[in-house]
Amino acid sequence: MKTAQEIRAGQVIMIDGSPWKVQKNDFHRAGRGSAVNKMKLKNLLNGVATETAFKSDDKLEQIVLEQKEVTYSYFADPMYVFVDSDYEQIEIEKDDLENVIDFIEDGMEDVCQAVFYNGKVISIDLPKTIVREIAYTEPSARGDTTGKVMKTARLKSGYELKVSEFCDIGDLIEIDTIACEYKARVKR
Amino acid sequence: MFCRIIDNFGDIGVSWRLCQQLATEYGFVVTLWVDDWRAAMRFLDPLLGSEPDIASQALQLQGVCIRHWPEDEQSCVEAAQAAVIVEMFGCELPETTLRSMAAQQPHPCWINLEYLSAEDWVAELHGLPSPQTIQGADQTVTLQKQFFLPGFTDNTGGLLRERPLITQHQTWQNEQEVLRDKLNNAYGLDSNPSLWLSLFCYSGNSLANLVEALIQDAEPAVCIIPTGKLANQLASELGLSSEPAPGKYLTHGNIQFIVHPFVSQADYDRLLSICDINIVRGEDSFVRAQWAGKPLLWHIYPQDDGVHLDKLQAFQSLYAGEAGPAKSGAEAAALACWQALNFRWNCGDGIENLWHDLRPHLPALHSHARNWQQKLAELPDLTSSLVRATGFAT
Repeated sequence: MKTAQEIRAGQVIMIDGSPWKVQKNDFHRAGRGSAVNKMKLKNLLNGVATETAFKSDDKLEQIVLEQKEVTYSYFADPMYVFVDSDYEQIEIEKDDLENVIDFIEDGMEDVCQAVFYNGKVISIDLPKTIVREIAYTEPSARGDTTGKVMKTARLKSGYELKVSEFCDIGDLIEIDTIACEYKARVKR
Repeated sequence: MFCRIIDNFGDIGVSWRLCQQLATEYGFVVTLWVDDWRAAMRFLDPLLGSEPDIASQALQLQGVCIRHWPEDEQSCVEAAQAAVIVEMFGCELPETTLRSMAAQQPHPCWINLEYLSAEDWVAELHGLPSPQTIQGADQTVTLQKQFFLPGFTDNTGGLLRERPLITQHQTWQNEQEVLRDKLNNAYGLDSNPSLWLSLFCYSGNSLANLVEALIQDAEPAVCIIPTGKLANQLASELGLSSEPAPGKYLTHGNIQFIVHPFVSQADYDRLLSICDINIVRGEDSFVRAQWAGKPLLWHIYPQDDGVHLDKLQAFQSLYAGEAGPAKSGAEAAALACWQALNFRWNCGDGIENLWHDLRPHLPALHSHARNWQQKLAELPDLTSSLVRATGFAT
């Protein structure tokens, strides 16, 4: 058992018989030395997302799930196929890829983590930071070089996100896969 | 409702007001379980007609049943038989009570009512579920506790506000001179100064700094301070050897300190209403001072890691309306002075000059305090929000 305060994003806790992945765990000081945690959770069995609150010293059952390094291979409708280092294929449905589906692209080389529960793959985790190419964005209009002015850009997957105004089509950008946010332009 | 009395009467003060409102305005059957029976009896003393029976461990008062914290099996099981269980300020419930709650069908509605804060995260946490795994004799049951966070905005649990409170303050303030004269006569003050203060802060450096600022001030004032720890420190700061008894007043330069006996919450509200500035602390007196619609200084509960200063700034920013439209010159200047004084005082700094600077701003601060009171009064009150959260009203 761990306290709510000790649980980190990415860990899995057991609640009411279901494994929940902690996507975010915010800690707040309340009054008189007490503290509370707000967690964003995802049910690894059905993909349902929820937010919960705990007192920071609430005890939670952390479970360690089997994980395996995999890379994306191809899409065979309706399954996405990944392979492990032994070239064993691991198939997973689109619904189970939920928050990473927007970053799945043909030819991607990111080393991902396949997460298993009771022998079945239940999710794929991307690295915290990935690099993707901008497929389309409007040309820079104001010549801003600070990075604070943002505009919309589209990836090859069709996913749109805000990037710095100075980014152009064909630029490679770093993306935070937890927050699903642009981090920086990659220097070539 | 479960309340652990940590120090003084802040926790039970909030709990008692909430119990009272649930019983009188909503007609609910309310039991308040308190862990420190003697402290509870001291707190309720102004409401008791006679000496409390300490041995009885149970008392029916103003529609609320007050009971000593359940320790034996029977009391713990009994405590779980309510339709709604409220743990005040995250206090731990007895294990047997939790198991009994888990065994009940349907499970009781379980609320954790947290401390008040003006910080942004409060709105994000308010209302969130908190699944709790309870290990029963035969099986494990998950109960859904709900977090309920008081606050100053409509996306939080709000503040305690009884239905007649604002009208009551208007009445008291219409009778302000009469009520002050009564106090004046009761204590036999030397004069009737124009500035009245109530002082209820934490003892220590901050009180010393405040007293120093008050006695250095050239303008006459009367300061009402509760009997006990604060009055004892005050006497020490003034160089007196004996502990001042309630009902006495101490004079130092232009300021007269009235040592006030411990009073009921209603009498304290009236006191706040007729003072020109209220120096308050913690949570209960802090909220009540805002309902009085008078300028206030807030001595926030100090925490070791300094996190209280973040909480103080969050409140100051909200109170001063920093996110809202620009203020007039006089109001902006008054609020800037108030913020500087309140913050420096809470940092443990000397405030003589800031206190001196504040006095000319009191009319503008009074006007701001009235507007703030009205703004808060437009929001749903804590008790009605709590009742809605439990599903007993829409």
